Amino acid sequence: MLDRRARRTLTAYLFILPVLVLLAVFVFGPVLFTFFISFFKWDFFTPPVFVGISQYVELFTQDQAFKTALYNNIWYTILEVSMTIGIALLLALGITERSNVLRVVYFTPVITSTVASALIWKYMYEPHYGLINYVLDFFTLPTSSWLLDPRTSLLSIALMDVWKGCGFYMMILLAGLKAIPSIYYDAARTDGASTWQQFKWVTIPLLKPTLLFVLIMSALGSFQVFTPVYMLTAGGPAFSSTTITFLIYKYAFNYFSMGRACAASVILTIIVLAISVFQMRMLREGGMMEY
Amino acid sequence: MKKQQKRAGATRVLAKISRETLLWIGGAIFVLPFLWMVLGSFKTTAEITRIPITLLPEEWLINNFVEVIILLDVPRLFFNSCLIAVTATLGSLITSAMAGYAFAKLRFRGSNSAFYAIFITMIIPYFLTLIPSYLIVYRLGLINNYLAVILPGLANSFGVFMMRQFILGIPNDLLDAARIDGCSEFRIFWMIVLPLCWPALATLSIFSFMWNWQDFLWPLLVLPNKDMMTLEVGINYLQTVRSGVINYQYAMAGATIAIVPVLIVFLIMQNQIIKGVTVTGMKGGA
Repeated sequence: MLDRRARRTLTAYLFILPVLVLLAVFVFGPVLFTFFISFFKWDFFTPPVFVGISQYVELFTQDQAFKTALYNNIWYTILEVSMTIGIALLLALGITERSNVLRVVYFTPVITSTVASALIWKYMYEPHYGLINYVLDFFTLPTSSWLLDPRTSLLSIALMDVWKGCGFYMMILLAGLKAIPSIYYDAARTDGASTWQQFKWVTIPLLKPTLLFVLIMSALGSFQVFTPVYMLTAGGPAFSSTTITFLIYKYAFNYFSMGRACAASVILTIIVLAISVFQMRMLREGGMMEY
Repeated sequence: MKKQQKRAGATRVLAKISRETLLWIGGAIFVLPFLWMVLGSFKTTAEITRIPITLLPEEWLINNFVEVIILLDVPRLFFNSCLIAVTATLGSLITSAMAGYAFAKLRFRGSNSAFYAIFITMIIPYFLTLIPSYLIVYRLGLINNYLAVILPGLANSFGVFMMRQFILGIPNDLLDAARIDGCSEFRIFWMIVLPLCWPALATLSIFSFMWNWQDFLWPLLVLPNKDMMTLEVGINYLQTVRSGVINYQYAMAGATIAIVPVLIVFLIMQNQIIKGVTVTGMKGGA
């Protein structure tokens, strides 16, 4: 006969068992296995061959594609995060409570699937009969080959992602803005603060926790961008838009270099965790405002 | 003095008008891609590639839709997507609520470590688990089996986290009263906690459904068969459906077919969805 405490523990574990088992099979186990396989050469079908850390070394020394992908990832993240959060913040500040239509309009791309969005944007980016070049040409502005030009391919993917992501971060920032009590603004106005001063000294400091949260989320998301790359450019032209996740996919499922793909995944994870830790520390130093 | 005030008032009105105008112009730009998609879906091959481009289709033909529905067997793909999304959503609601209840209301040894373990899966990059997960599914012989997508979808760490937060708000007295009456924990969970969780479950189900519906890479890998693939994966092939050349009229018709049902659901439930986003900070799609 079990005592009461043991029984209570047993009951609790029965409650969390389904989630734990599933996560063990599809997350924890695979994570360990990925680390393990990153030290082996493995083509998925024949037995793996131990090669030590040589695949990590190769990625950093010989693999030009990996270096390019790493560079692209950093560039893409900076582009996407700054544009998305910048526009989202402007929208959140501009949209007032009443304009429900505008909120829905800006939010619609968020619920649109990435695959469908990518198809639409690919059509708009088409150099000859695409809408974007047509409009640019109409205003006699310089046109571009967008996805087909190595100089603009990454930017073009980022623009689609900005369109798709803005509304989401706008909503979170709106909620953050709404949580700032109006007495702070009243006080600032009484002291004769201008709109800009109110923004700088009231809005920004009090919105800081929300801002950092959306920064973390969008940085993590854009560092792992895959589907837009797969759909819009397949990493091209000439690796100009290859990101790490796309390279992992190619190594694993086109070249069947599972070991190398796993090593790249481990590096990706280390970078992503570093970003999270860094930004969480900033969040803590910034201090969670209480009001 | 009065003049100055008047001028300040005028600037304010002007600022407000220009702000509103900018917001509406921005809104128009945000809607434009959808409009362009619908217009493109009615154009013929000859018209869609013509230079200079036509804005409105010369004739509103539904040929593209018919072609796409036949090419992709859209009803079948729609069924696949529905079956996967509904099953995974319902399953994950139950597993999330159960785990959430345990973490919120039951005190047991190891609860903190277990909770952190689940929490950490939320920041692990998806690609770290991709290859071994594929190996598991492959070895179990589940390639081209719905279970390959449903099984991993049954556990949702974000759901666990969200349900725990919600259940924490349920008063303990209520549960203790039931315990004194001799109710088992499972009965308490099923009869008292679960019905009270309705708002959280509704929000979670909307998002879980959206995630599953829009998931791309995993279904692409494990359900490659033409009659097993999801709608998302299917419309991706519309890019190269004939002779390797991109046929945008089919792509636009496919995109319209994929977007319109989601759009209708969104417009009906916009308030819940938007509230859900601001409360939980969740995002659909990858």
